This record gives sequence, C-alpha cells and structure tokens, in this order.
Amino acid sequence: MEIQTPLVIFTLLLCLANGLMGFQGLMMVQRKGDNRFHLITLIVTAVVLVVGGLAVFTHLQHWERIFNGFGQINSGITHELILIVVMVVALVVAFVMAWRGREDGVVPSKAVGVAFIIIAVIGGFVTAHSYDMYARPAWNNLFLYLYYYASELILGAAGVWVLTAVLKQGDDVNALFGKLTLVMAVLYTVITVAAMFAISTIEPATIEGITFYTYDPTHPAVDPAADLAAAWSGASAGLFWGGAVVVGGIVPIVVAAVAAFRAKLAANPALPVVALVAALIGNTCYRIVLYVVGIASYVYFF
Amino acid sequence: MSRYAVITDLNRCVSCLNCVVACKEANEVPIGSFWIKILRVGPNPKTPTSTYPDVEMYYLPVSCQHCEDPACVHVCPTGASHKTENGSVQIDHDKCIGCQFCAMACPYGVRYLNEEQGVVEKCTRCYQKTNEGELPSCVIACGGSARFFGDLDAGYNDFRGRLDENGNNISLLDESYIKPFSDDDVHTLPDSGNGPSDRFILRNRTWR
Repeated sequence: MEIQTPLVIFTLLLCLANGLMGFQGLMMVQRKGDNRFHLITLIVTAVVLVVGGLAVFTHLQHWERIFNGFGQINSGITHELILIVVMVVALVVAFVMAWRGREDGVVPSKAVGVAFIIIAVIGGFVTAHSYDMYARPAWNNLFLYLYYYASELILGAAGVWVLTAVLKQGDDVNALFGKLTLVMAVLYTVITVAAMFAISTIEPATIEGITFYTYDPTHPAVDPAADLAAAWSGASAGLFWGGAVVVGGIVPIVVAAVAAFRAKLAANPALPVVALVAALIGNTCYRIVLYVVGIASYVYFF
Repeated sequence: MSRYAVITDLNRCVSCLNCVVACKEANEVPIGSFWIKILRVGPNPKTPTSTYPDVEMYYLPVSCQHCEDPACVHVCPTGASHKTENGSVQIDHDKCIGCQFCAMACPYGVRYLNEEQGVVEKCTRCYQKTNEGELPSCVIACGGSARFFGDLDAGYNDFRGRLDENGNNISLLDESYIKPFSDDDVHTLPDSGNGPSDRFILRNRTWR
C-alpha cells in the first residue's frame, strides 16, 4: 500500500519518546543520573513527542474536524491520543519534581521512574495495536508487536546513551548504556529479520485465477505473494537488508560492541550519536517496508 | 434494523460495466476512482485435471460489502464511518478527518481518499436513493438483469432488480428471468469475521 510518510515519522518519534521514557525511568529507579541530566532528558522527550504529534497532524486531511466527535473508544488512534496525554502528564510531573529540586540536585522519585517504565511498556503495545488489522496479513501478527517493542528499545537505549555521554554522567553509566544499546541492537536485528521472513512466507488468501480487471484489460491483477516477499527477496530487499538490517541493526551493534570492549570510548558522544542516527535510519526503512508488504487480505481493488 | 444487501446472479453478469458507469454518474465518483470494479475470474480448469477447452469463468462485481461487523467502523476515531439503521455502512463527511485508517482496515481494499475533498469514500449503496425506497443505480442499470436489492431479513422474495417490459421491477424469484438456485449456490466474499452482506449466486461453476 501507499507509504504514509507522516505516520512513519510519527511512530518513529513515538517509539523514540517511549524508549527515552522507559530508560530514563530505569535510571530514576536506580537513582542514577544527576538533576541536570533528568531535566534535559525530559525536555528532549517532550520535544520529540511534539514533533511526532505535528507530523501526524500533517497526515490528517481535516484535522479541524477532530472536534466533531474524536474519541471513538474502539479506535487505535484514540488509544494513541490517550497514550500521548498520559505521557505528557507524566513528563510534566517529573519535570516539576526535578525543577523544584534543581538546587538540591533532586532526581525524580522511584515511583515516577516505575510509572515511566509502565508507560513505555504500554506505549509499545498501543503503537502496534493501532496497526494490527486483519485486513493486512503482514501486520496482523505477533511480530508487529515485537518489532515496535524492539524499535522502542533500541531507539531509547541509544537515545539515553547519547544524553549520558553528552551530559557526562560518568563512565559506569555510559558503559551501562553502551551495553544496553548492544543488547537492544541485537534484539532489534533478530526480530526484524525473523519478522520479515515470517511475512514473506504468508500465503495470501485471494481468489484463484483473477486475470484482470475488466474496466481495464491492460491492468493485470497484482501478485500478492510477490508483494509479501518484496522486502525479503524482491524489489524492496535493498531497503530492508541495507537500510533496516545493516544500517539500523548491524551499525549500532558494531558501535556498541566497540564501546563495550573499550569502556573509555563509551563516554565519547560520537559513538552513541552514530548508533542513534543509524537506528533512526534503520527504523525508518523498516516502517517504509511495512507499507510495501502491507497489502489487503483479499486483493480486489488495485 | 434491516439488513439490506445486493445480490448478484453471476451466471447472468456479462461484464457490460453498466453498473460501474451508472455508479460513477449517480455518485460523482472521481476519474480514476471506482465504487464497483468487475473482476474476470478465470478461465480456470473445470476440474483439477481438466485441460483447455474444458474451462470455466465468471465475472465478479466487487464493491463495499457493508459488513455486519465492519473493521472500518471500529478503527474510525471520530465515528465518521458508521452503521445505519438499514445495515449499510456510511461515511459522514463532516466528521471524516481523512486519517485513512478505515482504508487500511478494509479487507477488500474498497476505500480510497478523495484528494479533492480530503475524505475517504466508497460505495454508499446509493443511500440517497435507497433511503427513499428506490433501488441503487447499479441495480437499475444492470444490463444483464443480474443485480437485485432487498432486505436479507425479509428473504429473497424482497429482492428487486431493474424494470421489466411492463415497468415492474424484476423479482429475484421470478423464474421467467432468473433460473432457480439453491442455498449452496449463494456465496459471499471471504469472511474474516466481518460478515460481508452482499451475496453472489453462482450455479454449475466452482466459486473460487
């Protein structure tokens, strides 16, 4: 199906924001990071969320009509809106706590950290659930959920690593996030490859023997099996293998492995920046590929 | 609540495309977009071991199936896509924000974005007509007298097609026009639990 660029950007930044919250919550629970780090991370997460929100507005043809009844509770879009509101409330609460205690170097409480982690866990589910439609066999499976969690984890780990390195949070913290990024990058790589292999083997349900549309005899019926395998071994294989796997997975693995074996390098911001940029590129590629393979269950109207 | 549906006798459909043209005229469907498309299914071997010329085929008009439990309605964040009292699925343009999630959620892929108006569109079953007791344009215009409109809850006797030479609507059960059929000859498009409401009659051939 047609690539929805604003949704690609929105889900990418939503996963980044969720990941940042999850790993920042982990640091709050472990009482790591200074007050300045937490304040800046909260601001960065809020900015990412706002940019993501603006991106999704550009997808809407008539955003002004959201006042005509937005909030149908079965809708995944409504669930995403509720998630974003909850995220904003949690960010504001944590920011107020950190801001008030800035002179004493206060870190937001463990309870806030736990809330951040819970929101991050729910966030991955909500993001995937919005696209879990039986009409799209490539999306209607467990791998969609695993992928969005993997996306959240690699972006969050690399993102927090950038901030701990830039804000000089200590060698132990930087080394921890270097290792976390390594684990998440391996997880991301395994899940994306497994997911795309599973999608390429889906047997499309379609009417046997459709040869063409009679309104246009020169327009042959599409081949749904070829579309489903396009990323694994077809026309979009370069985008998947080169972009999503090598750039998005292998590059962060290499960078994080270097940091893991040479602990002092983990504090150099160049490494996490490379890991984060590569992960952002890779996750963008994977999302584009998801649209390429996201054909309808019963292919009639192409 | 009624369950209005369109029943198409595929043994009568000749793919004249009158339904496609009448639909576009009645509903001002943009150039390049369609609310009905006709697919040619086959020719396929009559049996797994058959070879040419022992083949069969039929034409299949596909449009919105006005499902009983439509996925498009579930995903719509504003309630623009909704079920009406007569069982059809309609889109309230004043509520549609153009997010296109309904188009993604439709298993038959029959929805599209009207880029000029910024809203999603699909077959309304000529709601402006059927709500006043008239028949949909595709039924009235059907060149093969293959399409019929009625209430499934009221039975096949309720289904009416285009006008005959006396100006009366043909009945689906009028055997002077429509050959008898059994329940085994009546099919729906593949069902993922959404319950497509339209029916297709196909006799003496394999529904694929």
